[in-house]
Amino acid sequence: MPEVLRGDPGRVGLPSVLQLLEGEAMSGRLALGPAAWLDLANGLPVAASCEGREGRGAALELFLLDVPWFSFDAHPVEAAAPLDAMLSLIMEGCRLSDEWARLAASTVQRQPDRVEGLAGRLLSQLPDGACLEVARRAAGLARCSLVDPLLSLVEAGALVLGPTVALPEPLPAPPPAPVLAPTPPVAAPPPEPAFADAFVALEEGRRLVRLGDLVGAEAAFLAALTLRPDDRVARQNLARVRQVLGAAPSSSPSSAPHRSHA
Amino acid sequence: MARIHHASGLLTMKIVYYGPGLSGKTTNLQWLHESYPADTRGDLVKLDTETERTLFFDYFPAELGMIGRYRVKANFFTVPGQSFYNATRRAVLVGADGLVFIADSAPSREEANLVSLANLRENLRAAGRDLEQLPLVFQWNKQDLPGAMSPRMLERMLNPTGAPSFSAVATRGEGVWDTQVCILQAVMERLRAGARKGSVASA
Repeated sequence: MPEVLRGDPGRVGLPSVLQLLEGEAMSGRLALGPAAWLDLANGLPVAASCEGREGRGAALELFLLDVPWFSFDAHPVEAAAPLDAMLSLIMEGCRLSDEWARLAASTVQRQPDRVEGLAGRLLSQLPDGACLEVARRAAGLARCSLVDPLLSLVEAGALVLGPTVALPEPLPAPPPAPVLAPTPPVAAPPPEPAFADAFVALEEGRRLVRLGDLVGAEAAFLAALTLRPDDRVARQNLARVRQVLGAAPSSSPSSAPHRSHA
Repeated sequence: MARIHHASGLLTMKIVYYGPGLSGKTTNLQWLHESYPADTRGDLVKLDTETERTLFFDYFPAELGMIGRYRVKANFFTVPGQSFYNATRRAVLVGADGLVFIADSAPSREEANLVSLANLRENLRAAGRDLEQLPLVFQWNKQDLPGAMSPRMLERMLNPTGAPSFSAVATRGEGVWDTQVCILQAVMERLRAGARKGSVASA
């Protein structure tokens, strides 16, 4: 199982590597340092693991890693439902990377008394005067899962960021293996049904929008959002379709009435 | 870099619209998207942030026609203009065959134009590429604004090497199509030259 690529992500960025692998329809495992990887089947991202996480969230977190090396071993990977389109994955990963870059070193001037969810877990770990990255490490949370909840709080005026401070040193990375031992073919884990169905539902919604069937599209986007509640594209599309239909937007997908496809 | 897929007879090129925030990149792409016949264009993908705090990036593919036995397809992208989205801009620039720089003609945006152009140059340099070696077209957008900087002033400020340029009012579609035609022609010319040298990726 040949290693066909190896390099320094600081010199050749992950988006470049991924676009190359997609363009060449490669199958195999892209390792980013010793503890994170992305499996590709015919150039499509089908599985990922990063710091103990799996799936699309792990794939997004890859864009925020600071690792000294990457390598790609080509071998057959069982085709599976993609985690996302490669373009969407790259753009979303880069956006999260950019957003976290401006959040990480920020201190907090004022925060709400009570915050639910991941942002709440993060803020509860925040020592006085420390930056958000310190709290993130203490809480053991993935960066990509924090960006939007934090930005939403900032936008609502509930969270006020203070001056930035020097970021703590990154944890020392294990040295790169000089030559990676051939990796046995690893079958991709079975697709996460919710993701696969959400992807299909989203595509169906788009198709129905093009056909002018907005009621059907609404149902499809709602299904996508129910299956994958954090899917931004599905949420936006649903909101827009409802705007056109003149329906009142719902605050959560599960509480929204599900219209049948006319 | 443009790609030729011989088996499917497809030549694909990537055009990136660059420029400061709110200069009209998205308006250009929206107008272009509407101008292409429905059966030759893909969806206009608009990835906004969750609360639509800012328009993040746009993309659509379009089939341009045939050259010999090859179908020619262009993928049009915009970059996010806000300064902190630089990793994203670098990602969008990967493999760009041609660049359109959308300048904002509002006098208050003079510095934003300069900063964005310097950022484009720097991001290309970081990827080992040189702005002067890439097909580039300028568009002086928002010429309808009262007190808009004149094309002559913008040329002097941003385009000392004399790359092709167009005045535009993208909200009315003025100058949008001409800008696009010019960059496509420049890219095709570059591809022809590259093909002679064998530097076009093929599969």
